[in-house]
Amino acid sequence: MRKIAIYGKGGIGKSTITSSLSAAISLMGFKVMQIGCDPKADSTIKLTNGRPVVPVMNYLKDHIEYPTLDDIVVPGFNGILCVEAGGPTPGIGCGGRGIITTFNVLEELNAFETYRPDFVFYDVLGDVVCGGFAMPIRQGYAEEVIIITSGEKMALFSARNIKAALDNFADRNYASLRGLILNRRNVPGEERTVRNFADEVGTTIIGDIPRDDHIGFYEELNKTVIEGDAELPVARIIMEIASQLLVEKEAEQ
Amino acid sequence: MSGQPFSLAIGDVDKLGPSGYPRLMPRNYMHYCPPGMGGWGIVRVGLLVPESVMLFVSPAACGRHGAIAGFQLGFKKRLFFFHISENDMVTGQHLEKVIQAAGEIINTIKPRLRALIICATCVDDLLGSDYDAIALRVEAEHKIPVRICHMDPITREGKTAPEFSVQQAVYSFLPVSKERERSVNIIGNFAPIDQDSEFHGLLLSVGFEKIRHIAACSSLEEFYQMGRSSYNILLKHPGHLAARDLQRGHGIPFCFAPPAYSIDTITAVYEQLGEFLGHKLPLESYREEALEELKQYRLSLGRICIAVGESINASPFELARALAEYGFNVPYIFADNILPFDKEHIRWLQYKRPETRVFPNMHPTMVGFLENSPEVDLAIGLDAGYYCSGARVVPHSLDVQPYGYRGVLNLMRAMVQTLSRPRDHREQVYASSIVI
Repeated sequence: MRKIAIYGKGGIGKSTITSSLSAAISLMGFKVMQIGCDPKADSTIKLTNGRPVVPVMNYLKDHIEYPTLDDIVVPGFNGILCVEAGGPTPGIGCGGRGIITTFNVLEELNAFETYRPDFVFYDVLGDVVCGGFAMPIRQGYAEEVIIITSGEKMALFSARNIKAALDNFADRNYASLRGLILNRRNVPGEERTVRNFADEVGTTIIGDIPRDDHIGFYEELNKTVIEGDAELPVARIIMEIASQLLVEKEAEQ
Repeated sequence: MSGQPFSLAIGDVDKLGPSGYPRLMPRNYMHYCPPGMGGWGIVRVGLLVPESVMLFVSPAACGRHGAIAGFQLGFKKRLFFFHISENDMVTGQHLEKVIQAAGEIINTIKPRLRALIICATCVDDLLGSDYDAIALRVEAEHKIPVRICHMDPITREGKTAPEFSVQQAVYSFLPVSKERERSVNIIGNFAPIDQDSEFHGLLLSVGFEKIRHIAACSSLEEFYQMGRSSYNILLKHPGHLAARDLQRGHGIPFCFAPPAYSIDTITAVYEQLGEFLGHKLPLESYREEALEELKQYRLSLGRICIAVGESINASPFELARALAEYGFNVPYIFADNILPFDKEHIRWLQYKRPETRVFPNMHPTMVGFLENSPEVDLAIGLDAGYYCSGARVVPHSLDVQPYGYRGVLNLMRAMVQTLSRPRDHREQVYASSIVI
């Protein structure tokens, strides 16, 4: 089982790219689980054609009884297992704790042993701001981290923070950085800026996704571009990134 | 609060089942905390590991119970506290300070300590602090085994409640061994099985010379020998996760064989145990002898009225059934949990003693019980003694481990002695080092 966490600045396209990668890898014949680690609970919406996934925290809030896996895991496109952590009402409670609780619930329900996914993607909100948001990269969870960034200053600032957090945890057997995915915003000199950043922090760009209206078009239909039309050039690029991910980091090196 | 305490007829308990019963606890109220809730807390259980010390990391007030128990029970010298400030908590600095504190303890204690347990509390659960990473770092720096346990009542309703996870931490010290000795471990409980129990003779008769228990180990090395045993015999449910871990990680299979008090249940538990060990245990003579002695005790005790508590070394439901089978009147049971093992005994009581009433021990309305204290001749368990003031109390605590046919007879003897020479209940509570 391979576990990969996707981080990046809010609004950079993490959920879109994570869902597309999940879809691509599932089309290659692998069983995939995607866990949205964001209180907004919208990570997997493009995999379920808009069908809502009951976030784990919402379930716990609304029910006295403990959930079963059927209550919180929804099969989406091509059998992808969709889970949403959910979280508190905005402005109160603790979003990080929501992720911890969700992981505990999945563990208690033996989710991985039951479904035996080949790939698990954790789609994590923004920066590694506290213990809860670091949970996906702890030992036993993701082994690899991918940072989504554009060439914009704030996206790179966030990417630098995430890399710094990974470096802080280097002695703790936490996940290591697999690389960057450049999600283009078409700012001037974008590719060079991100390549320089990658060199500076000692990593590589493992994918370069152009700005493409087809992504938005299918998003409106609650689909990934992979589901919408896997033959489109942008879909082929995502399929290519997915192919790279099939190779483990160590093997790649 | 006053008025009638909340209770259920035994038949209603059966309908609710194991998962429904705890839900009776009103979550939005402060739990009523009677005596009997103390005794074997997380700190005391963790410190069963020989030659270990514990570093308890918490806001200042959270360490109160452990500290008092440490003084009362004499393990204060093995217990250290690191109190977290709000600033440290928010910035996460306390985690670095925990590592420093652990180093200071390890470097200061003479003779050098052999094992360290770091106990995290609710605040670190909420913060998502990674104590496993801390353990790895302290181990690497100081070359002693370090394990993490949690005193986190916020997880009490989950499947990894602190009383379960602390036993996982304790037995995770055991190294994996390829060697297998013809010995068994007794796990899940806190004291070796009484020497006068026929259990020892029965196991010896089928070739198990060595019966190991953590509380009988005087050194870490001796404790490590438990990793070589062929079987684990789980006596108490809170050791279930530890037993499962040892089965998965160490290849030591386990069998749940709880202490019981009905002759038929004891026989059934032994038969199941024998099947697990691959030998028929020669029970007959012990059984006959117990039945004979029981007759005398029953005659001596007469048809007395007994309340059974939660804080006993038994399942309250199984013990109530056993006492009812022996002809005693058991109108009240105090119980906070129902385990799968209890189910058949609850059913038996439902059909044979439907008038039995069950009181959730921690329910806030239990204050009402004190105001209307019912009369019974004997209370088994300190909590039952507390509610039934005026009753003579057999503590039947977890500090010793009666087992099998001899266990019933010893309980009967204690009942006879208590009726003839009762002890002051308050003294009993203090003698048991229960922190209120």
